[in-house]
Amino acid sequence: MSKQVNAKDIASGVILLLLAAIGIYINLDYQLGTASRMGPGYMPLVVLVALGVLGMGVLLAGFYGSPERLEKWAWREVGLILAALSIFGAMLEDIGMAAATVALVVISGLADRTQTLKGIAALAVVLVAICWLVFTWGLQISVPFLPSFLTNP
Amino acid sequence: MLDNLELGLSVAFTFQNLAFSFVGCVIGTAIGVLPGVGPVATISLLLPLTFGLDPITSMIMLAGIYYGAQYGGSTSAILLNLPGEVTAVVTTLEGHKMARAGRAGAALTVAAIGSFFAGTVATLVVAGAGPLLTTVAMAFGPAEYFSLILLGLIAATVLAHGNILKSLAMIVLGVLFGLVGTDLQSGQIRFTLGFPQLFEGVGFVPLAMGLFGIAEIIRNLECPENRSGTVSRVGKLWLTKDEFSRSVPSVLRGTALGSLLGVLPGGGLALSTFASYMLERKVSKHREEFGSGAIEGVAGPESANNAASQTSFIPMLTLGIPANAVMALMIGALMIQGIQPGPRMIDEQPTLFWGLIASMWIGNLMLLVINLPLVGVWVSLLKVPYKYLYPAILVFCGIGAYSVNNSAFDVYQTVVFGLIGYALIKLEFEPAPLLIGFVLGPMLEEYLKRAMVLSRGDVSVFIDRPVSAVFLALGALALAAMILPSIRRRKEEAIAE
Repeated sequence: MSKQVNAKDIASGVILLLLAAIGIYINLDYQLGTASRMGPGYMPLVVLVALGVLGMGVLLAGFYGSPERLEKWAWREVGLILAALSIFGAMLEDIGMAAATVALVVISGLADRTQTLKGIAALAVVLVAICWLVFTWGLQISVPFLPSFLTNP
Repeated sequence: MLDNLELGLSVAFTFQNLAFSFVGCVIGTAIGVLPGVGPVATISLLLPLTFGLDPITSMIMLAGIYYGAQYGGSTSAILLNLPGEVTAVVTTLEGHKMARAGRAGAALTVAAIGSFFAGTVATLVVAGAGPLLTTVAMAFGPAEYFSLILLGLIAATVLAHGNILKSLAMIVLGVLFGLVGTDLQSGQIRFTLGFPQLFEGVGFVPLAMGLFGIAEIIRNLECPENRSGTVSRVGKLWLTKDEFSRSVPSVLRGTALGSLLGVLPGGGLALSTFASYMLERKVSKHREEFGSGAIEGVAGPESANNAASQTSFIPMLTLGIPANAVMALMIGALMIQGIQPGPRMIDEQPTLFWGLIASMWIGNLMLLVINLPLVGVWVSLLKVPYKYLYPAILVFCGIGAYSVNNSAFDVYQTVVFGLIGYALIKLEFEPAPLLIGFVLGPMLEEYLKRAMVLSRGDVSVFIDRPVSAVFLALGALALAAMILPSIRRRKEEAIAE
């Protein structure tokens, strides 16, 4: 029988230690200076060492803590939501707010399994209208609403 | 003090500021009511809307959003049994029980009136204590500041629930994120991983939005039970004579507790509501009703909550140190406006300081007016299905993140922090300490460098200066108090095995 450990804490500890190690490696390029004249690498080194120590602590605590497994990730939701927002960001400048909003609504809409095609369509129309009203007409932010090839022929 | 309050009122009573206070209160309530969207997410979501405004107007609007979100949160706690955040958990205990018994209206009324009274008193406390603390803080040198910030960072973990080591690690990670970008003294570019867009540092808005807004959306989609439920009927809003006379002393006690505890850095807000609930249960003459809808259990904690959310402005306004994640957002908003919060603010920006204080009271009054009569509107908001809400929130996040610097890179940063935020939830880390560390990190480095230059590299300066030594001792004490019980518990567990 394998020993029961807190897998969450162990994973957390390992990640923190890794981050600290990578950080310290990057920090090698920055001058440390002396205590009275601290260089740009001084404070980060202190912080990174603290991070490493805490990571070690979390890791050790994981071996003694109450047993717990890693939680499953909702990959589908994570992927769809983050992809929707990334594509929105990529489309915003050149293709405009209207099309970007539609793309975001369609992609993120897939993340909720109870959502229907009709629901997505209605939501897209309403949100494009709200965005125009609030951001283009109301706040007059400098984001193009329609694709640039339509407005500047 | 009266002169100053008059100045503040004259600032707050301009048409523009009144209008934005109103808009902030309405938007804050509307979003706060929505289940699964807490005050921190609400404010980070709406932060970009305020960048085009004057500093004072934007602070007034953000403060309105903050109180509005708190009020809205208690509405959904009472009617839906869904606490938007920790402070509303207590409200569900008695408030939702009252709603089940058909007295939802009374619970909402006592929450609103108690909050208004508490807000009024706490505003006066802020007006009185603010200048006093400022005079003290003016005598602080870099060493005192360094120790104070360190104390603030440690305190930020005291009341965070869960593993103390993990909370501390979040603080440290936040400080590290705060160090990304150009070092001001040497011009050295640090930890930008080759992205020129990071020369100015990690974006504050993307960080807050990603950690709180985006991660919350994914979480809510994953666990549908977090966001649905049956909405109770509101019923009559009026309190009966008996309910009224039972509530008055609870409101007074809650106000006193909240005003005191709100100043504490860390979790003063949550602590004050829990403390008030415990107190009410101890002193109530109707102890048997607790757990099945005692009005004292709504009146006390709701007043405490609102008083504390008011007085939690004190450390932010006088020392520039955030008492909680919302205050960290406020500091971020001020810094984007080019204002460094701290003891000098009261002299350099008296209109900002006093205008904000006056608007606190006005905001509370507005909330009382818009909350009770419009409760039907908020209830209908509760019924909007989440599948229509989250794409709307996403669009607002996207446009908001983009418009800070007109840069798509900030949208991608939001995506990255959304992923980090979700990973933190999965590994049971608290994101709030990270945000506080991020805001305080650069200040911590700055004061450390200055103190060490002055002392010619002698670390003992932090202990030789009495005020600094007291701060450090308090920090050490808090740390010990947190770590010791958990070690003892672990030992007991080990022995029990």
